[in-house]
Amino acid sequence: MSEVEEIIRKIMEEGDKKVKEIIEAARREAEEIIKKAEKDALEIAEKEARIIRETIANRMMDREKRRLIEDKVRLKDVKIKRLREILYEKIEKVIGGKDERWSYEKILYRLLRDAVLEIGEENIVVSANKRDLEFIRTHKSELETKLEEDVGRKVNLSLGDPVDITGGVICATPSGDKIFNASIDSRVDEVMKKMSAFIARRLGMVSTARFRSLIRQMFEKVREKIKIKDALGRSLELGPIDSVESIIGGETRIDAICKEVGGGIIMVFATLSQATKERVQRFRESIEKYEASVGAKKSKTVFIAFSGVESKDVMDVLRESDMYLLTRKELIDLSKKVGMEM
Amino acid sequence: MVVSVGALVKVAMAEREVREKIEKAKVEAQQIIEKARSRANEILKEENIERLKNELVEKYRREIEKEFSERKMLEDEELERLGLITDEELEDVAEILLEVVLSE
Repeated sequence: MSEVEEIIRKIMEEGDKKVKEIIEAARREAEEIIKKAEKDALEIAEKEARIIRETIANRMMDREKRRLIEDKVRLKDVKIKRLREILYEKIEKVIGGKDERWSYEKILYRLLRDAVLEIGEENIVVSANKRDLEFIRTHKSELETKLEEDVGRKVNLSLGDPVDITGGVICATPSGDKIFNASIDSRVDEVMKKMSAFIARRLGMVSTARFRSLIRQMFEKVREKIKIKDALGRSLELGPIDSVESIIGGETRIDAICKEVGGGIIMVFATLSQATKERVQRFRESIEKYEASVGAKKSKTVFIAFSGVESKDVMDVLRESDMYLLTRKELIDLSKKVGMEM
Repeated sequence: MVVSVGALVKVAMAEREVREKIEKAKVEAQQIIEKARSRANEILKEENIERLKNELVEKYRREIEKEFSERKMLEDEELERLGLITDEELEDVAEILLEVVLSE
């Protein structure tokens, strides 16, 4: 190749390079322009879509909350009403002398004494139902003597009007300026109110979040080795437990992952409802996912079903899956063992 | 260096060719950018944003529904529990309450 040809080749080569550079720069710029436009468009669309998202979420939330609250309140009311009925049936048995553990006469006297002490006056007007009023009338002097001994001052009882109460008394001063309600009904109201949190926990009338939190707290309290029988009659050894965590979200649900001091891992699923095949399957899949992602193997699996099992088949599935089953009864036992009120 | 006229002409022609190619490339580059601007205008058009917005809303709706079905499942467990409370369980609790009501 001559010198001139070499120069021309170089000129052409430089030229082609420049052309390529110009086109590439233009393509880059074009790409930037489109990317920016796409980004801007998405931002505008996202901004508007988010507002709509909030509206949809709020609407669904309101609808769900309303449905849930209405259903929950209705069902809770029904159960609490039934609980009161059962409690009153038991009280009636005590009053009727059909429960040997209690003496209603002693209870009635105690309620009367409490009212007399509370009012702190000599003359007391006693109101009660017809039956108790009759008892007080026929045992008046006897009661006055005993009250005098117990409260340390003279007490004059006078009979008031019969009132519609299950039992106990309502005492007042003759002027009516001091009244003390020592009726059984008032005690029932007071106890039901005071023990409402206990009643809710014991009957599983709590939210799922609260229930899970109670379960985690209970496992955290396993400070030493504990042996209990599960609902399938097998012996379950737990603890001591070092830490408890949970994985809930998406397809995975493990309500408590309890790490034992010795290195064992106890996986726990906790439902307020019943153990069903679907729930057991979901738990099994969640464990598989967890083990695959963390690379750790479970040592025990515990299925907590507060309301028991849906059918006998589920018990077989739990046995085959080597899962321990704890129902309300076993949970109460376990909570007692760890010193926690369930 | 001694260069012939013929060679000089050849070089000048090559340079001219290159200049033309560059000019052409500049025009092509301008067209590429213009086309991109036009595409960007299309992208930013109201109809397109509306379409994007609808797609996003649909995506969000699916997400919310999934989230709600998860939540609903848990809330249903609460409702199921309330429906499953037996008289036997109520008896147990009533027995504890009886002790408290009748005790000092």
